[in-house]
Amino acid sequence: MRTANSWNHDVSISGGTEKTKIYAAFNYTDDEGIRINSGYKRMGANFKIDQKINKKLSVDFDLRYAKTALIGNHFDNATSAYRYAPIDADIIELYGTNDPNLLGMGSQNVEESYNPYTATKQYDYNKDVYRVRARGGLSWDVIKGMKLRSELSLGRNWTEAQTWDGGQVSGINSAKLEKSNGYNVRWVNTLNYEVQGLSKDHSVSVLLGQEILSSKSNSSSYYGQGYPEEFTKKIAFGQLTMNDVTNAAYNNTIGTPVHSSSVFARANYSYKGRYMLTGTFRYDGSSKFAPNEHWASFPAVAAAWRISDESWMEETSDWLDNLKLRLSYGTSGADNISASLWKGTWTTKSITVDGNTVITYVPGSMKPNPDLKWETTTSRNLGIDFAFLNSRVRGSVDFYYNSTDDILMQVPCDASTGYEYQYDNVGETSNKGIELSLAYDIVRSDDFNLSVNMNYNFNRNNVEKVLEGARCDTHNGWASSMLQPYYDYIIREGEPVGTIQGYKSHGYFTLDDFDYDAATGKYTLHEDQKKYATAGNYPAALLGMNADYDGKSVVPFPGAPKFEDDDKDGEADEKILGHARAEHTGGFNISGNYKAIDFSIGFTYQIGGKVYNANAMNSFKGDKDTNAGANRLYYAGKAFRYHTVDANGDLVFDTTPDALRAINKGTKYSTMMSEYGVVSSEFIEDASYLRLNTMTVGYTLPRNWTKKVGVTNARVYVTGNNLFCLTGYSGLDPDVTTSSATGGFPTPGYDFNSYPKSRSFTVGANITF
Amino acid sequence: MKKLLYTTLGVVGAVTFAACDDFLETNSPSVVDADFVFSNTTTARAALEGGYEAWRSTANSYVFGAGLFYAADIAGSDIERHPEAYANQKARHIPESFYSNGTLTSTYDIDSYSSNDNSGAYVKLFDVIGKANAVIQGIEESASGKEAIAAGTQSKIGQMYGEAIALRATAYRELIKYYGDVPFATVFGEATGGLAPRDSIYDCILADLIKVEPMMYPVGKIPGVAATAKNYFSQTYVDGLIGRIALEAAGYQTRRSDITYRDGKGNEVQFEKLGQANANADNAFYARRSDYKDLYEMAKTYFKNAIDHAGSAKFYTVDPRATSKAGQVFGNPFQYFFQQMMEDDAAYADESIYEYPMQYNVSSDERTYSSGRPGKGGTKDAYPCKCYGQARINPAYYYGIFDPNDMRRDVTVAVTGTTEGTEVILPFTPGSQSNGGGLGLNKWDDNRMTKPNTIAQRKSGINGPYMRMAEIYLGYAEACAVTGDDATAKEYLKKIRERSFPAGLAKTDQFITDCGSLFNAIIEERGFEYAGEGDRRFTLIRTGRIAWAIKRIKDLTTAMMDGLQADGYYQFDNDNIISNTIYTKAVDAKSEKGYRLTTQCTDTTDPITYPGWRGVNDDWSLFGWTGTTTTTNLAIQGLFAPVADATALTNDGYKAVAWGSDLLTNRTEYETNLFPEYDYVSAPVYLWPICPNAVATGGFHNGYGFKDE
Repeated sequence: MRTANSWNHDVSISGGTEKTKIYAAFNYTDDEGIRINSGYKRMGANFKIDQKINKKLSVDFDLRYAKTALIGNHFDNATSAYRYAPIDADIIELYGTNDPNLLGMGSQNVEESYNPYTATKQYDYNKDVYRVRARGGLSWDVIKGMKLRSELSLGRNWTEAQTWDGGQVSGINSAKLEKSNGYNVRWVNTLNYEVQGLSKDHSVSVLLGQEILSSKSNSSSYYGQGYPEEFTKKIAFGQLTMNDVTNAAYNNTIGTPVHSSSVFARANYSYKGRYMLTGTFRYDGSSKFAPNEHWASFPAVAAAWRISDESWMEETSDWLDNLKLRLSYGTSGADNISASLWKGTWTTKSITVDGNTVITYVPGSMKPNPDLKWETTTSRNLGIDFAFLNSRVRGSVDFYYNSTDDILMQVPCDASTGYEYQYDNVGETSNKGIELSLAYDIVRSDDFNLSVNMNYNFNRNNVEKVLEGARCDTHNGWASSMLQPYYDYIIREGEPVGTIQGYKSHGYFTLDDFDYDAATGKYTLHEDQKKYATAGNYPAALLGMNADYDGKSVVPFPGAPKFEDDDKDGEADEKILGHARAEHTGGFNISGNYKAIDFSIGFTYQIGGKVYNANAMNSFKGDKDTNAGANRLYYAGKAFRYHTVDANGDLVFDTTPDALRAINKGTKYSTMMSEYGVVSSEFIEDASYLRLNTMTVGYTLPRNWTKKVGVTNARVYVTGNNLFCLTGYSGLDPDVTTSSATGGFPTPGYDFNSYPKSRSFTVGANITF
Repeated sequence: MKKLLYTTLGVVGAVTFAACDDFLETNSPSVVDADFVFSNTTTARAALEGGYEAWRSTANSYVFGAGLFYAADIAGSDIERHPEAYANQKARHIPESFYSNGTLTSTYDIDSYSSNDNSGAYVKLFDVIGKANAVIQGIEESASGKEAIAAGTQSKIGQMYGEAIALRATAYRELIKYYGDVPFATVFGEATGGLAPRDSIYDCILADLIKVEPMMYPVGKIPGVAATAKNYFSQTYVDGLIGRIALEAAGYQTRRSDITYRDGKGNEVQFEKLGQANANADNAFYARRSDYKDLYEMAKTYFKNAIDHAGSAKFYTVDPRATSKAGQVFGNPFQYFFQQMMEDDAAYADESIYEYPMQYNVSSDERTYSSGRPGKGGTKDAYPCKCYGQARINPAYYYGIFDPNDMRRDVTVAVTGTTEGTEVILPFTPGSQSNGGGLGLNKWDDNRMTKPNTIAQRKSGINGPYMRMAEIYLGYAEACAVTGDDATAKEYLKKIRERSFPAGLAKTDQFITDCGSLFNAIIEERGFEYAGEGDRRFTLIRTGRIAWAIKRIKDLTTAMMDGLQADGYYQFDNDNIISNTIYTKAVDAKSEKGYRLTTQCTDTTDPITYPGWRGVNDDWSLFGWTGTTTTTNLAIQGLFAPVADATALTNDGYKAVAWGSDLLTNRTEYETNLFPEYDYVSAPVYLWPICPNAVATGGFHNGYGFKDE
């Protein structure tokens, strides 16, 4: 990690005549990553011309170009960099040998080749993306009130990515060149007609439109490994085929075009600007579905009533500026899936057998589903807008109830088909809630202004229905297959998305939970403690502390984590431990200015919700000897211990009560020697927080100074982002979602080796000539 | 003006509606369907290659490597055991030891070992079946395929069809072996809805194989395939597979009480039961089909065909190797097979009929890592790299059952492992690598490889040995014995046995007498031939010999422990004596013998070369080792008889090393936890539960008392 600098420059010019308007802009961004060997650069330019041809016709053109350069690195070592323990010197001292094998599989935690810094330096990835887009529009005032507009947008993009692995970590160097190019086309035609000749109280407008989208991307790649040791990245990409050949692979893919086509209509009616009615209708077609499911229609209606304009409200007009009631009901569709999920596809893959490249054809592991259809969201909304005291106080309240049907999700399918999973319209969810926003201008004056904005959202999500037989539970990757219980995020009717499953913790089994038999050195669990059980698996020496240990099953012992076992079957019960998403969220913002100095402060908050602190749980996972020698998070320092250092300086394992009491005076958590990763409610933590998100102070230079150098406006400012966060969460940041290992399932609040949020400061200047 | 407007609207409308059906039907020449793939033989062949690759990766990673075979077969019989403490690896130790006589099936966490995220053996094997089904359908529906199938004689397409049929049969054979009754899918993409009785599946896949056998070519003679390659299913393989599956279909298996068993014709299967139903495991019963002899007849026919159509598969009775330049003498045709597997990556062993190919330094490889001589190296850049050593050998079997004259013993069992270029004793303390775990499997050893992978562990490039001539001979002998042809049975038993004994010491007739029957002798012989390779467990189950064998090894273990406890040593019937202490000394074998890697040893008094087939690579420095130790080898005294004069040995630089005493310290592990609670009469639950995802989507329930979730 490092403190990184970033630069951002924008220059724009605009001008023209009455008939012609031009605009040109140029920007450049150079953003260093806070992780070494990473970053982002962007250069863009934009030219626009609007031209009136005659009274009825006008055209406009917009041309954009952008080049983005991304520099990335090897994230897997970097995200868990803290685990690396360069302690070879200590091992020599401790054991009189430099044999890292003493740590068994944990040797990787001390080997130089696992040094995340070395690994990151070894690995080099850069990707350049070029985009060009041209848009042209033609507007025609056909007759009075009728406007026809046709707009065509054409874009192309190219990418080139180079991945270089120096080979120190993987054992062999490799280069991968990936290129792709694509296009996108959008053509929209609209006809808008304001009905003429009506009395001034009535206003009717009708819109008819049609839209076509088309895009496609082709890609090719070349991979080679085993370049001569002397080769650098630069040489390797110049001499790409100079490798060991046997493992080289070339691949070319012509993309499947994604097409969509829509027709839509909208009608607005307004009476005296007091009563408003809107009806819309969309008929959307998508190439992502099978032919008989291409099309779906999505109607919607909305009405509004400006109550404050009613005559019987007149007496309130001295303090009430606006009161409006809104009501809407509508549907919309989503096709956020890849193309070709509905049909069976075979692809080529090259493999190496006995040093020879063999080309294979394989069907996908996804079962095609020709019955896939549009995911439909129905929204219902009731809202009130209000403003009073000369609009010093204004805001809105919205009540909504949205439900989404036929959610498109990946679900496992019957293995005997030969497929592993398929996409299906699996269920229905709903969101019910309130949105509240309020603004208050506390002070309005020439020199000093101060205003407060706040918003508050309450949202309750619920899974209304799950397709029978569809298993939508998720298994997160932090403990790979050694996770107990196996499913940690579950989808159940009646529970929201982001329901976390695990064991309900009651701390750990203490010495007081057992009777100790000094003769045998064994512990026997008290009868009243049998409503608790432990989970995971432990070294026989620990399990063997329990007098009832049969050499096979997992039994409680002093220091073992303690979980509820209501049915007293000796196994911890799987329970719902909480819901990740907070129901209460919002923010507030204070802004204002004093003369030429302006400032703003923005806070965000959430109340409730849970964070799944996998980082902490992972610190209690011994994972056999894979974690030997690894640094662990501070939780492990408070874990139950069994070893003490004797007078000779040797580590001694002692399980007698007196010794354990002495060793564990400051102990807060159970032992960290579980072979499995265990999902414990102890680390399903409250996600509430209050964050100072941004703070800006700006100063506008006096005009009479700047005028002399031809500058009409000049402002300098300082902005700080993510300045502090008040939270009870023991991890880094409660506002986190690490993407899940298993595709497609939402796992909100999952925190495992996530890229940390950075605190940033910006110093900038806006100058207008 | 209006005209222009209407024209414009007309054009817009036309674009939107008239063209939209075509417009929304998009495709790419890079994304093709089955019709395209099976439209010509080159792409159809590539589809078959895709099936092979699925099988190869499934076999390596989900069945054999870190899979079901890895967990139970190479660790759970009277010969094989696991390296770690029982409680350390319960997810695999419980199934390995028959779920404590079935008492743990109801509480066994069914996704604790076979994980549930579509990466278990069950799902992956069906993935192979799906790919095979697609190829089979594609060929059956093509004109050229129809012609070749109707002709029923050798042809290129017939060969390809036969390979696909063999691929499907191979995957079903593994599925039935581990899960018992499974769904039977023959159409790619179609769900079958429920379980099919295993007998009906066996009958169907056997009929398929018999149909395609004449359309195929013997190994080494497949048109378009290199004569040296053995990574394709040949006629020889199909003959062997028919024999193999017929023996298993004829054998005893543990069956569910909630299924009506029917054969391939739909008739209810009549059973001969053995022992008693297992009340702990939903009354599962242990039985074989009463028409088992018909299947034995089938096995006999096709094993004989395999011998007659052996193609490039050889069987050596004499070791073809000359004495090495350094002076190593080989003289062990049995070991030659394993040595050939450890040579050039692209080479196949002469005795092999089929090996699934593994690529050096590419994907995870179980030989030498889990099936091989244990070694304590780093994960990379080590000499050799780490060998965990999952396949271990029961000490009582090594000492008490293996004939001391049997040349297979030292090839099979490792007393020593290696670490950083030096030889170390393998202690009996539970553990892994060469830190513990006891006697290891010696058949594959990085030290013996032509090009050991010192870059990374578990990437040796050694292929998976899936079928070789020894199995054909032993299977043929077994089928002959059951069907009354004792003379031929004995002839083939002798071929296997006598090449591994010095002349005159095989004493086959005495061996048959000692075993109680010719049939028993053949099964025992198979144990010696395949020890440590994971064949034993299912062979004992299908032959009904499991209870006898487990009881024998447990009793022998108890006697050995009692002897060690009382006297500090124990003498077995073959005169081998295990002692609490042995003596070892690091020596420079290079200066004493001229080499560091030892071979067949005939001088039982030489502490450096006896037991044979150990030591370290002759010159690790050729692979980058920078160590300077010259005393790389271990001289061992007292391994098979107590030392006469310990003081003299100590004066000579030998050190006392705990040996049998470590067994005593870990008596629970070696004795009590060896198939704990098994009562020798209840149906043995050797099967695995099917993972929750597959149960839920497959619409059936797990049997044998397992949970569904």
